[in-house]
Amino acid sequence: MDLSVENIQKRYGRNRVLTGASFGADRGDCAGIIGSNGTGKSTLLRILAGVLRANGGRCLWQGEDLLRHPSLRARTVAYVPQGTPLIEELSALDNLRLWYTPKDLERSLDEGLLRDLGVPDFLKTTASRLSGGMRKRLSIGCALARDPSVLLLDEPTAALDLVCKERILETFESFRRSGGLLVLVTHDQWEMELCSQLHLLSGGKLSPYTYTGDLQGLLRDLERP
Amino acid sequence: MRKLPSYFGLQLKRAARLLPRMLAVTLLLAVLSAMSALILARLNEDDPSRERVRIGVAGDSGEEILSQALDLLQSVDSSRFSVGFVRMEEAEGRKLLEKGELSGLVLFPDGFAQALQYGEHRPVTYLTNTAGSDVGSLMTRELVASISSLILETENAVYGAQALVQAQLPDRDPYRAGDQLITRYASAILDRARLYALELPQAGDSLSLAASYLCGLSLVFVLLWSVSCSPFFSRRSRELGQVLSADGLGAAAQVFCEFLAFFLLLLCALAAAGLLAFLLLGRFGVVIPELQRTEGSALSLLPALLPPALMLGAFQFLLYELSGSAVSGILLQFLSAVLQGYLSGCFYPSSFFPEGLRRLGALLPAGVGMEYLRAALLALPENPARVLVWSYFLLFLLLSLLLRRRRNRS
Repeated sequence: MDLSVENIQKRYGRNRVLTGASFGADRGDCAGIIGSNGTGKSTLLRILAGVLRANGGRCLWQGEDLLRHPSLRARTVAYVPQGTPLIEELSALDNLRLWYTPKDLERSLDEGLLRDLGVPDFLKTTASRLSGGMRKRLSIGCALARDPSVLLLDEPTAALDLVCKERILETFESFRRSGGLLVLVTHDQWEMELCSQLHLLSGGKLSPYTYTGDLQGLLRDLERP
Repeated sequence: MRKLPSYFGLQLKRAARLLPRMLAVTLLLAVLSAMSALILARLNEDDPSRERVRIGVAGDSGEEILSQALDLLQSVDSSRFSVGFVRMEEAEGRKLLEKGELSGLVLFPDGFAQALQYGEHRPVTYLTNTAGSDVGSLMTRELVASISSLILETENAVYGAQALVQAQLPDRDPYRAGDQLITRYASAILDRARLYALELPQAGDSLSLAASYLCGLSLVFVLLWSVSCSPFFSRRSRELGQVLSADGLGAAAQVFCEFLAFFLLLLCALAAAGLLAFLLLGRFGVVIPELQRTEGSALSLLPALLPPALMLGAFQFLLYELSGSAVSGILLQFLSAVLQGYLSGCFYPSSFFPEGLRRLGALLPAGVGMEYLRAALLALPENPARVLVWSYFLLFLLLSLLLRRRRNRS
């Protein structure tokens, strides 16, 4: 396995949110994490991104523990949170300048993922004036600046219209095809269909899950303690 | 490390974008404050009871001469512009004194004027509602005693002189001589312009009133500027902080870049305000003795203002880190500005306050800033507030950093 998440634990005071979450995935995979609200899905993603510190466990990328090597993690992993990590008063272009070198930015806008995401259409617009879909596309564009191997996404297409959703999912497909690994926290059926593997987070642990398209069955499984 | 200059550059850019709006808000607030002050001053101008100290006069009801003397005092003496004497009954006077509607009540004993004519001393009682053992009360007591003995001794001298004239110069009218004596005495001794000269020497470590207000207003400007700066702080994205942190640009670098951009904004505002103050002081001919001594202008206060502004800026930054929303941030800044400005002697000299409040005010960031400016303006060889200013600055930044780190990990 290229990515091996082993026995991740996290507690807030006495509240044990993750008690030993583990899963593995290879390049080109899309690993989806599902679960009810408050089960710790976003917490797990933040730990993998380096935003939070785990109380135990490892996250190995090709044998190297990313939790112990922040510089390697920063090179390997990119994270797109639920909210928008943007500077609201500045244009989309200015926001991209924070993450890209001028050369890489030009290339990506001309022929790379930024072009695929449709970012050139709103390059000069101030971030606060962008629609929800545009903001999300810009956030993903910023995350892809370092050409990461692993992209962590927290409900990437929540509350977006179908056209925007389609465009973003196409970008994810393209990222996967180029050898990237996607890990996404989701509640969305479309996103689940994109995933090559699903894991249900319940009781602080992850277990493999197969989604057959039966929504009622999924609901029952989510509600099960 | 490439991200640090990029992030700082972008923070500067957003600060520059917000600057015109912030300056406009500050200008609007300043104009509104000036207009309110002007309207209040005009209202008070029309109401004579508000501008003068009211002193009640009661007792010795049988004597018309006392009323006449008061009328004379109110129509001739220059004290009429600042003090209003009102004739009233003692009971009414005491009641008004308790309500705070009178500043003092003078009680003349019955037969006071009559007794005075015979050189007999019947003490006048002065009642005030500012009892205590402070300097003001002690001076009031001393003044009342001085005036009382001055009047008595004067009367004794006049009647003694009359008796002397009667005995030694029988061909002259003793009463006429007495009147002449009184007139000469009054013009020579009781002429207020010549009676005393008030000089306020610059005791080594105290500022002139004008300099004190210049320092106070400068700090109030810095304190209130943070309210106008709310757009700079309220629209920061928590997620951006988290993502940057995960990407290697930690809380310390984020706080450093944002604070520096905020401080540069503050510097721009201070430069604009300093220029305005320079023009206004010149236009109205206000002289700051401390600046005159060093041949400096209001603009030369700016370098001395930098360390306190840096410290207050760090404090404001900390308050915005503490507040969860734009509204709570603005309220917190406003309350902090008003409270600190008041307690630290930016609005009134802090010597007006009781000892406890004075000590508290001196420890607040604005109080420390005032102390720093005082020492800087007086060009004291050692600035006792320097260590505290820099310690506070580092403490506030450190606390901001800890809060940011906590927020990034929440």
